[in-house]
Amino acid sequence: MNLLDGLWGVLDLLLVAVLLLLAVAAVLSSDRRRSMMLFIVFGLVLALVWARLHAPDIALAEAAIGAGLGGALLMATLRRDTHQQTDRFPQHPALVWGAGVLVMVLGTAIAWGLLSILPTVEQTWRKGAAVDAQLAFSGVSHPVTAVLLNFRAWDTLLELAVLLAAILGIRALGYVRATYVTEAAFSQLAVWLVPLLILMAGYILWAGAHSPGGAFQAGALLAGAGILLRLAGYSSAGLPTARWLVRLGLVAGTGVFLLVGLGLLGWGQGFLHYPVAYAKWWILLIEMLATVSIGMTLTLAFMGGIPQKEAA
Amino acid sequence: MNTVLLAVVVVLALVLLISLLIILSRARLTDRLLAVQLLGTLGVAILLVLAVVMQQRAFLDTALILVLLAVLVTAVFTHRQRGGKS
Repeated sequence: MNLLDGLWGVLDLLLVAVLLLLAVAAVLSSDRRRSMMLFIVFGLVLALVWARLHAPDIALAEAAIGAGLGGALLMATLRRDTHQQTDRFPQHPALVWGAGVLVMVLGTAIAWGLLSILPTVEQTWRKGAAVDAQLAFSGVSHPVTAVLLNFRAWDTLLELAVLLAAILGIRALGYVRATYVTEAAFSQLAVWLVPLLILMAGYILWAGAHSPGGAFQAGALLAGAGILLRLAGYSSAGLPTARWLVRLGLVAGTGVFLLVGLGLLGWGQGFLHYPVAYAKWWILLIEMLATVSIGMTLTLAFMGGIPQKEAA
Repeated sequence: MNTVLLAVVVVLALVLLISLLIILSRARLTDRLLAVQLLGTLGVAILLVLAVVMQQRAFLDTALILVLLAVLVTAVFTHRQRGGKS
């Protein structure tokens, strides 16, 4: 079996080489658009590396959020009328060197941190075993989802709250143009892709109960559908035009999560301690609403403000 | 069988590295965009074969997501290039 091991070794070396090359090229590129593209490809290769490390959940999240939607959001930040002058990074030597030193310090700190936790890997394995032992009481059959939505639901709730805070900030920036010209190609693309993206979002959400998937990845796919609709000339990107509905959608995930937690607390269960018999349904409810909220949040983030069509 | 498939993955990864080196030597933006698409397709191919080699069905989902969102990234990019505003 020496050949097999050798092949794995070669594959790992190639992936690491590509990843490092991309990272260095993305940082050293003097043009923003080029840096962005390299960064998107970096996310893609990173997903492959996670897959190779037997971490399918992280690979999926990286592909959906890091490479896919993050790429679209990055592209959205490029202003149309920018040209050579504004698309260049600041080249002041003090800035470049300062950033370089900062990155070196941070990198050293992270490397040192990683090295110092290596001896505790054994304990992490034991924690994994503990999750597996409790899995039957979590309401789902996938350990990662069990941790995110049950054992450590508190963390996930706070993540949703962070997203909510971000979108409130974006909406505070004011209105974005309601109409803009598009071309037939984008309409056709939307006709083909939007149904597929919505279908895939539903599938990934449902898959989360027993395999990698869940609300964040599903929400990213929904946002992909919204962004495409926007490109195809639908000014509200498929979102409702009544402002109260948009607001409801944005807070649904965080709000219901919180209400379920508090309700269970009032029921004498403890914050977000679902009763075993109903755990699956509570988790499904929260995941579904979180998907809607995340999808709407990311779509609005792409637009960069409140669409003018939203009636007050 | 697995050894053959793994060899295929290694070859694909090698193509990935070579494509990347070619991209980095090109200056035109459209070349780079096409190259990003090529790398995306290569990534999907690697994931699909890895799914079989590593017996991990979830990689198929990841590959499917990559296909869908790679199109989106290109769409957003070309839209901006043509001077669309959103």
